Amino acid sequence: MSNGQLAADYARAPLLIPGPSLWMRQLVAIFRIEFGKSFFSRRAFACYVLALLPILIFAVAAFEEGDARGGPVFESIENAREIFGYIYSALILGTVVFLGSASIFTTLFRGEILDRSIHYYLLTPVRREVLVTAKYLAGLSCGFVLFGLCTIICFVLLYLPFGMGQLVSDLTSGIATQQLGQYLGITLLACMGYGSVFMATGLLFRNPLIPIVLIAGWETTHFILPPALKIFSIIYHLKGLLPIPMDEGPLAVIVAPPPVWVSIFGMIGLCLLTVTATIFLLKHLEVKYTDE
Amino acid sequence: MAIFLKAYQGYSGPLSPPMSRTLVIFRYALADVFQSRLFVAFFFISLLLPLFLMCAIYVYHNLELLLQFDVTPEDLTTINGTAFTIAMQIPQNSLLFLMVLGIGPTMISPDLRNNAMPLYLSRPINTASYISGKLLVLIFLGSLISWVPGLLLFFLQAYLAGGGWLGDNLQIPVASILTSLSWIICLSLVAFAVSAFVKLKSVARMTFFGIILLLSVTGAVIEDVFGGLGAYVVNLYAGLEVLMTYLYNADSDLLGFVPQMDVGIAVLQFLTFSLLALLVLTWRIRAFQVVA
Repeated sequence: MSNGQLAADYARAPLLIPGPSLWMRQLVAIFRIEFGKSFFSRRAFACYVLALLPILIFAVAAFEEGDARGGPVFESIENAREIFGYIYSALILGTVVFLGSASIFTTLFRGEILDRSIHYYLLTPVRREVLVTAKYLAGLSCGFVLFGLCTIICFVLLYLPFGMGQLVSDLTSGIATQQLGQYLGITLLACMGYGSVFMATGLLFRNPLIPIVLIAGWETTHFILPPALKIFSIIYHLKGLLPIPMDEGPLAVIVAPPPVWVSIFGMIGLCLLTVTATIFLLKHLEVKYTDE
Repeated sequence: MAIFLKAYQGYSGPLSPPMSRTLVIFRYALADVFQSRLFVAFFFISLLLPLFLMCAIYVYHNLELLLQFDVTPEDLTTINGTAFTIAMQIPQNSLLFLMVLGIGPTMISPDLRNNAMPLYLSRPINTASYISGKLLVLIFLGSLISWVPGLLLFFLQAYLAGGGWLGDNLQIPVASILTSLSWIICLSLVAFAVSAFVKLKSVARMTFFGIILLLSVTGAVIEDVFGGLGAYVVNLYAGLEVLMTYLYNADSDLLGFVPQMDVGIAVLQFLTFSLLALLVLTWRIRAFQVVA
């Protein structure tokens, strides 16, 4: 090593002093690695398929001249918006984002343990808080980019049978931007809420299927739950934010949706709580690959 | 003996019957399944339902007990195909799904992951024997928690009811056996197909759960948007509902929402799913591996 290089290393040394600057650089570095892994790995293929499914349905609906009942698929723009609300609520939010988040966030830690590579992270001089935050943000970004794009493309496809005139009219009047903004906001909150829970369960349970099935059961039956239990369901808070309220069926226990601020801060609170729990779990993690 | 005569010579002695070779795979796979304490607990909990129904049938025919509960025989519903469907078959379908979800996706993947296929298939065991051996485990366990107790309940009811009840309800045992076996075989083959693609057990379970959930939600959404029968083709549970209602001769109004689909289409749907899964399995289960 030349003297010049040594001098340069000494000059860089202050950057390795623990503090917000170092943590931020570590966070960005881990974020870049994890975002790439979440977005471009073979495991991400399942998320691409999930995100493509609603797009495919909307594309068929847009190009189909009539449905099996004989009439047009979308009778009017209002009817089309209602159908979008229904598909968004049942398919995109209830299934695609749920399963996609389960896939992305569970593999953040459980995937590393199964791949026997978590020790590389644990051996580096990185605070557990930084590691968890970076991984969570990477998963959140990946989920939001994929499912947000899916929402936007589906929303644009909705306008295809009505022509560009309708889209421009709705964009200028603000209806389309407002509704699309709300749907994107709900998608972000859903990724935040489900993601944080699945990241924690990925560390807590050796078999991640158990929490996924339990949470899926809880979320799908939330409509028959009494009001006191409904508040513990993520989907209840998210559906309260939908621009067009959905009919939950004849068996549903009718309850007023929670105020918007309760839903938003509830999701942020849940996210902070579960990320903190994940940090706690990671600090006490003892990896035994032979047990996996 | 000359040295050249000591070269490899294939075994030319008598072979055991093909079925007994299949049963070897069955025996070892069954032993593997019962190593999981969680599954043993689940298996015994599953048997509580027929036990409870047995007590209910006994009470139903015990006038003294009924009078103690201030119930007259006129207040009670008739025990027929609809009652068997609601009380026995529908809960059993869910139990069967959970059973296949728990053990199905993990049966093939360890053999593929650990390169055990050449070891299996270099013996006088072909792909069909291998798949049958694994499938028999699920059929055996599934039968024990579905149609076997169903038949016991049926004969108990026939014995206690007396008269012409047995002759009037002969469709019930046939329906119980056919519905349960169709559901077990179809789900198991799909689970095996997933297992043959996804090497990690936990990921395979998640993928199988995701596929079934996604297919049913997508089917419901397509039905609501486009109408027609096309939507039910992807929804396996819709096919099962149709088959069950037809075989049990059950009242579809009492069962709730049953798709207006021809039973032939439902059968075809099961056959198509099973055949596709079998094709995937025969493609993946090979005695050699192509190494890139």
